[in-house]
Amino acid sequence: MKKGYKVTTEDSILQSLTRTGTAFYVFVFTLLVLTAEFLYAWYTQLTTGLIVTGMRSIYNAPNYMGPNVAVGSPWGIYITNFIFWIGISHAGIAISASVRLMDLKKYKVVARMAEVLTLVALPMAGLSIIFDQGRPDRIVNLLIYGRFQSPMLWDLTAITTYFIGTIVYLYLSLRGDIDELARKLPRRERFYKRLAMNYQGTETEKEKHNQTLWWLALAIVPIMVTVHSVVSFVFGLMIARGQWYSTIFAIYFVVGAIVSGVAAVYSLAWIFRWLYKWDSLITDEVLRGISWALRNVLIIYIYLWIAEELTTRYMGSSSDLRVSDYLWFGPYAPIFWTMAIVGFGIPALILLQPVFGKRHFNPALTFAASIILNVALWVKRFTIIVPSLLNPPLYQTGVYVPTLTEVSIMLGTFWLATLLYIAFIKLFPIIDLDVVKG
Amino acid sequence: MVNSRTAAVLIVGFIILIAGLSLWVLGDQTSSLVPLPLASTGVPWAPLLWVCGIIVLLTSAFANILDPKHYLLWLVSLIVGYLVIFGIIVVITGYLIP
Repeated sequence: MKKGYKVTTEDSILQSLTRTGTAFYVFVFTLLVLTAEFLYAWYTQLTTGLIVTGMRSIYNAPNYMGPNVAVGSPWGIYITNFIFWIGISHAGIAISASVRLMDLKKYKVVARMAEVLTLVALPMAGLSIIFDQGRPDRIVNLLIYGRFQSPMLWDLTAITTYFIGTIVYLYLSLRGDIDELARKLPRRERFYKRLAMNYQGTETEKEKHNQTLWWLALAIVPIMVTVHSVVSFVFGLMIARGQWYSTIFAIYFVVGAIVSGVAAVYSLAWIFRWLYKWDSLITDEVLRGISWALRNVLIIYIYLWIAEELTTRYMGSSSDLRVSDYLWFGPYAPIFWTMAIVGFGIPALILLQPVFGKRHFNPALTFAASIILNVALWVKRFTIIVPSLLNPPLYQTGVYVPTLTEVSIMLGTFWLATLLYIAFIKLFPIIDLDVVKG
Repeated sequence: MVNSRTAAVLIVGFIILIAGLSLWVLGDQTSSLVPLPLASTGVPWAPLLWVCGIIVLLTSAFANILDPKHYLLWLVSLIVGYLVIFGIIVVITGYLIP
């Protein structure tokens, strides 16, 4: 690592704040156009109602299509997106807290990328829930009349705690750098000075920051586990839905979230390394380390998945089996098997390659695997939610096809998240400046 | 080391949290576990008190490092910011929804 620091200075890290080319403006403009399209789609949904989506009641009133006719799924790609973003958000503090608690100095270089990912992903998860509501103007009722028995409220509590905890954690880890930026970028001096809030940079102060961050990291790890466990309870505590009552559901969700988050951090680290030529800072060793973690959690996730499928196929209840059949042999079979083979099988093979020696590690190929994995994990969440709702125990199988408006709104969270991330890297260094100081 | 200011913030946060939770739980008039927040609690705004308690507890990290003026600035920003998010959603969607 030390060898790399000679060629990669603080100025190299700061180029993400100062260097802005034509490609950047074209990219941001494209994102703004896409965001405008998303806002229009959301406006359409708000003014017209959820009828513009493909989401329907489980069954309709008898006088409409006859008695007991299943017509659709009340949850679709918005809730899928919610679980996806919650999963992505896991990486941030998980990686950053691990670096701090286990003293993994080598990975400090990716810690902030991960923290910002959490900060950006959590609001997108919250937005996805709001999109799913027919009357988001009543959301404040959660704070007035919310019931403590409801996992929805546990969700609100867990997400709020995680979000506020992340803001506090990120600010404290960033404060020293903000103070330094006030000196390095004179044009923005006033902004940074105010934000640094009388930071002195003394050894005592730095020590105090480190101690506080250590305790905060320790507190945040269980919060992180809670957030995704609670998301699984939103499903597990619903009434009469096949495949939602597995005892490993919470673990399954937490591990899935870690896979998703670690894959996202790998993708980001690779993109930044490629974009700013940070090869000597984000070394192959760092990327190999992240891919090692990704491989291990992926193996655990696949194991849990197989355990769940096997139990259902052999001894599952009739409603569990009905959903499983629907996925394995029914209309969702092409999605399910493509996800299993291309989405999980191929990335697993790519990630397993370094087991046969360091020279088998290919950063670019692993980047492709991390992207494929996140797409597959999005689809996996979709196959957890929709087939169970389409196969209610007492009614016929329904149909769910998301509309273009729905897809535009769902994709909007990705454009917004990218814009927010870009805004951050234009204001603050995405790598802790302490890393180059050694 | 945790200073007295941090300890005070932790205690205040904990009291708010417990107060919110107590009002929330004691005021509840239902006993069954249902999946949607349809019924209401007996004491309105108790969930908000609970959330504010969590925010105050988490800001104890700031209290350990920042001076009182900046600590209060952060605390107020976080609580007001949190409520403003809800406010914006309610106002804008309330205006657009027919």
